[in-house]
Amino acid sequence: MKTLKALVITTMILPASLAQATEMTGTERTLYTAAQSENGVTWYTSQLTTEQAEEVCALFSTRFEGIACYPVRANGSSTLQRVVQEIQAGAVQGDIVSTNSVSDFEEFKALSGLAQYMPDNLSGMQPSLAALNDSDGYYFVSGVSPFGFVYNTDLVSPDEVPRSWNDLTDPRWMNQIAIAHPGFSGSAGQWAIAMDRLYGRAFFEGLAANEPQIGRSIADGYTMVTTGERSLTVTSLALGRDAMRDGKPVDLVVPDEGMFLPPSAAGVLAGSPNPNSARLFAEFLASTEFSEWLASKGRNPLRTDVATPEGTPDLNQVSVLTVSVAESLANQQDVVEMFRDIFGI
Amino acid sequence: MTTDPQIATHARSFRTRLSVLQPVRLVWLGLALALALLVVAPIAMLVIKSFTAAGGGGFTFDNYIAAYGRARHVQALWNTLIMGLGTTVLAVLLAVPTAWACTRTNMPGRTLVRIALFGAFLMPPYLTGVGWILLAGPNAGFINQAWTALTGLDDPLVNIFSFSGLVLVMGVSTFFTIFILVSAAFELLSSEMEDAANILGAGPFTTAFKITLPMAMPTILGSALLTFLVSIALYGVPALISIPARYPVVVIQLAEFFSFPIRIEVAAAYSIPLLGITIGLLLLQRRVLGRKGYTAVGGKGGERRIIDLGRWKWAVFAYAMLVVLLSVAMPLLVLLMAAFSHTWVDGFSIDNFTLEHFHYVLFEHSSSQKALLTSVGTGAAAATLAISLALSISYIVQRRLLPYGGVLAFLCMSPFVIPGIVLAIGFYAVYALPPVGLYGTYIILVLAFTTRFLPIAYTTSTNGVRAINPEMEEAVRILGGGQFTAIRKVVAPLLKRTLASGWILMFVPAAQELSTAVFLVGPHTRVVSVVLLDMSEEGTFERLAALGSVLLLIIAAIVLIGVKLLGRDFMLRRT
Amino acid sequence: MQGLVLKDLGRRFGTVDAVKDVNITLQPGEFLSLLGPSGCGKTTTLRMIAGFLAPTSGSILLDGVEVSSPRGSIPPEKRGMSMIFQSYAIWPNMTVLENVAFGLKLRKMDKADVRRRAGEMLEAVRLSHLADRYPSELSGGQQQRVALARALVIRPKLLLLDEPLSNLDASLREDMRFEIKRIHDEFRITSVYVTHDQSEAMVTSDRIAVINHGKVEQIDTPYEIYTRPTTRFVAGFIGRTNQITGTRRAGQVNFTGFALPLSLFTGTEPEVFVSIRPQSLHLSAAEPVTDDLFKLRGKISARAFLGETWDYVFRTDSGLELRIVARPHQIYQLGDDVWATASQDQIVQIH
Repeated sequence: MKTLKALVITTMILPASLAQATEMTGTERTLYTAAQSENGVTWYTSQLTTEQAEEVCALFSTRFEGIACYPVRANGSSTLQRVVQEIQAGAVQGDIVSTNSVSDFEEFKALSGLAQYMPDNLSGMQPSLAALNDSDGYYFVSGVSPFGFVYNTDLVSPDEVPRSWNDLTDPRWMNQIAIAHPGFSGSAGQWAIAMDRLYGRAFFEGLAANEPQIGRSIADGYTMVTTGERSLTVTSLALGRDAMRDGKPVDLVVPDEGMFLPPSAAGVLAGSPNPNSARLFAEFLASTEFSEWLASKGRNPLRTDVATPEGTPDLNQVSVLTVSVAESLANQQDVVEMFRDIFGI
Repeated sequence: MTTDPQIATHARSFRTRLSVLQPVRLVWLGLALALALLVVAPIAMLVIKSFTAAGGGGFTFDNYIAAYGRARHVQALWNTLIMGLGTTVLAVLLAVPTAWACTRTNMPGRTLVRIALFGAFLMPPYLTGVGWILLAGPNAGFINQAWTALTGLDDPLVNIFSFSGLVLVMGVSTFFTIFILVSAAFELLSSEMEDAANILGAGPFTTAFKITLPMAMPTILGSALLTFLVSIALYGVPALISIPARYPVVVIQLAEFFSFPIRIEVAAAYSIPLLGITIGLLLLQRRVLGRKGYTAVGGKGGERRIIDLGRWKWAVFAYAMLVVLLSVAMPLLVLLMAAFSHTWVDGFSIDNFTLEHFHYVLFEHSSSQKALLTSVGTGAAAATLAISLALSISYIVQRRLLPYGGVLAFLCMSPFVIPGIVLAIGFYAVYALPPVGLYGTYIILVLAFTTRFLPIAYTTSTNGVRAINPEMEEAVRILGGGQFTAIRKVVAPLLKRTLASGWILMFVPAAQELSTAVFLVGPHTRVVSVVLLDMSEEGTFERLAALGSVLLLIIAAIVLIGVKLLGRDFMLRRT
Repeated sequence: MQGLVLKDLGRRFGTVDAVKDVNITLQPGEFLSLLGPSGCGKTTTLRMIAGFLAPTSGSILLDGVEVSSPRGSIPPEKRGMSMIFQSYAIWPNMTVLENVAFGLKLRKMDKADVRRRAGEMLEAVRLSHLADRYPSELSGGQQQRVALARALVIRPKLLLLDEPLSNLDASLREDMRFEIKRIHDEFRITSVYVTHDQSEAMVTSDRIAVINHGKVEQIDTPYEIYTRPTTRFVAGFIGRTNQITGTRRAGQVNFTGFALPLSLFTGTEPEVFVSIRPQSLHLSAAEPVTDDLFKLRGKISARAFLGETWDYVFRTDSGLELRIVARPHQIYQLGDDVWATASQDQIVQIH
């Protein structure tokens, strides 16, 4: 974790340079002025790790000086639970939410929990991603985080690495796999839907037979592999690249069926106590600054004006697996229930 | 002629009561109302909700069908009972011999062991759990690393993510209650009973098994039952271990009902058996103890003589040290190591040493700092509130100042039978939602913590008040001071110790509380326990350890101040 | 009228009469004991006098003012009384001096006066050297004297003592009896003393009220109570005695094996009860030459030597058993034929 220091330094230097780099748009300026009489923005998120969320918030507060930002990071199901709880209680305390499961937003929408707001900055979004934005104008794509395998190179030799998603059912991986529980992790939930579509129940039964370590978040599996507790996990490839840069003994594999692509989405909460700050933060997520930050972390930027960083596959050039909102809404609960029944937890 | 309300209480004349009891009745009503809000409303709401169709519909059994209609859900209930039983057996095995050795034998290092075990009281279960994950994670855990290094075998020696791992962590997290209660019982036991056995030719161990143990049996059974009830309702440890161990238990299932789609009604229905089990077991205990004619150990039982263990004393000492190692020393050590390490798996070395995690949790992570303040603040507020409430009520009950004091006493003790997570659901149903709408406020946390630990406060207060001879107050009255003067000049000063020790006994668990907090915190009222739980799911154990250590440090500092003021024996007066 | 008057005083708990129809009048300066077995109602009576308990019938008058009645009671703090409790109730959070000065401070006396009077009081109970100690550092007897000083220093209109010596060991208890007597003689404060120990009551009191089952059996000086008990209960409770039952028959009262003239007795009930103290009976080996009407022949059936006296059980052929106390030199063996006599004035009729 030597790079932690580097990260801290970057965090301190980057925002300053970025803030100077671009002027506020008109919308941003208006929202910024209005946000100044509010109490900052509370951001519920399962999209990033705590550390990354803190960085993004710091970046936001630097660009929009005086507007505080409070990230509340939890796994997908906790975030969903919290937001639904607040909507139902009529006591909304968060301002904006982003998760790795677009279907969550359909739920929020159905509960009238979202405000209709699409940032102006979306105009710069890559068309392939912009197509996933809500046509009713309640939520938009806030990140893409392709999934693949991350494995520990001390424990797995290059010729042993799995090639297909279905290799997870190979008994060779007995006691070596770490996964996130689809009932807790939003992106794992989406991934499970895709696996169900590809290989059906047999995939989960085979996986269960291999006794995987089940965590509550995909970040947990990633830590399991970097520490050597497990050899192989299904997680964000970007996290894997972070680890490689940190000099950890890991490498990535993109399965033959294609990397799994769960888009992250964000939406402003209806009844948010700080509506202008919330909208300003939405603009920020769609802004060049945020895409530049994504690129600086080796992640896929959302905008056309930011180049995909080296080493990161361009999503327009590789094969990807996706789950549509409709498919997710139709299958998520059944798949999670199936998972729970098979894994007994 | 003037009439004093307290005197008049004794006059059963209807007229006297009517004319003077009104203000006093208001006090009673006020206290009763407070308890109704804290205790009755959440539980009543829970029961009502369990029979109410979702979305404010009418009466229904559907929630029970939804809650128990799946084999997995019933399995979780069964698993919970097995886990509770395993935990209780382990806790008794850890606690009772150690308590005996510390109180009645000449085992070396008795004070050391007691002080070390006090650490078990300060360590919240979820931190012990994290400590054990670092120790006994199947591959990276230190024990297994050492095992592999020593033997070259790849198969792990121990796996914390298993049923036995779960029971181990639960056991070492909960045995302290038994230890402290049984120690107190042993200390009150007269040595003459043991001497009588010795003189007939029984050795120290025979005496312990045939005489000492049976005499302390009511206390052992009572505290074991308490441990069982605590363990089946504990949230933190299962949240860390039972998911990877694939061993579903009730609290995890309850959390699932609270995830999407939120089904409070089903959660309510699912938690009713937990409530039922608790009440049933307490009734059973009362009956069994009553029928067998056990006389609970009480009063000063005469001189206490230390038993000479002879050459066995080092064996007993080794066992006590094993308990210390398992419950406190090992998990705490690895936690501290992780907190100061770049990467915990690499173990302790100069290269691996860093303070960055402390810097991160104290200065960079936006919610840690606030969470520390919130934990300490809500813990302190709840402790203060509960102690004031409990003290007023136990004074009224003990001095028979008002009729129906027993009702207040019963209400004070009843949260004892409500598992924390169930209480949280009840609180959520009553107070979080409109029209009250306390969701995300400090108030709801303080109220919930107050209710959760009210029984501790009440037992401490009652013991304190009972220890003050009413004649102390009557002496003030007869010399010309009123009831209030008596409270101010005599009762309050004499209760200072009770007040302070009760406060600490409440504060420690309240500042660490997770089970109740997990559904009640808002984004700006997150307590440390909740932040730690969120950190745990990302596997960033180094930071978690750093934040946990800071919380432990703060709590330990406050307790140390208390112990300094109160003397070291205050823990023994817990009940 | 000065002094304390209990008028038809009664206290009922549920359906039980703990105290019933108690009538007592205390003169100023008088020391009265309420003596009786535990649960007889003496403490209830005392607590009603103190004002901790309201009566359910009757009333209490202090210096002519009604302080308690079922209609209402003056609270204890407004009665100007003092009390010494069974547990002493010395406040452990205050020093000896603070304990003693407490009542004076409540009376808003100025500091110098408080110090002076508390000091004098400590002098009187011989505790001056311990003024700054805390109660836990004192012996039982010293604590007792603190309680006494604390109660007396306010110069109460009435001093109440609730079994104050029952927590002391035997020898200390004996000393404290005289200490209480001495201090009473010095201050002449009207006092009511509750005890179940007859010798305590006899040493300290001007008069004793013997209470049983909530009722006053007899109020008299210690001497009268002992020598002239009026009821079977009093005769039995105060000291040891032989109670004998007889029946009225034409002109005389027949007892087991002897008879006494009817003129000695009052009343008309067919049964007559008398009490004869063991030390009022005399033993002799030969038939004594005496006018005593009470003269019986029998055998020694049991004996015990107590050092200062012999304790004999005397038994007549007709089955009457009497306890007789004799001096050490009067030695009889078991089974000896003996005579027992008592003078007529030692035979007390009881009811």
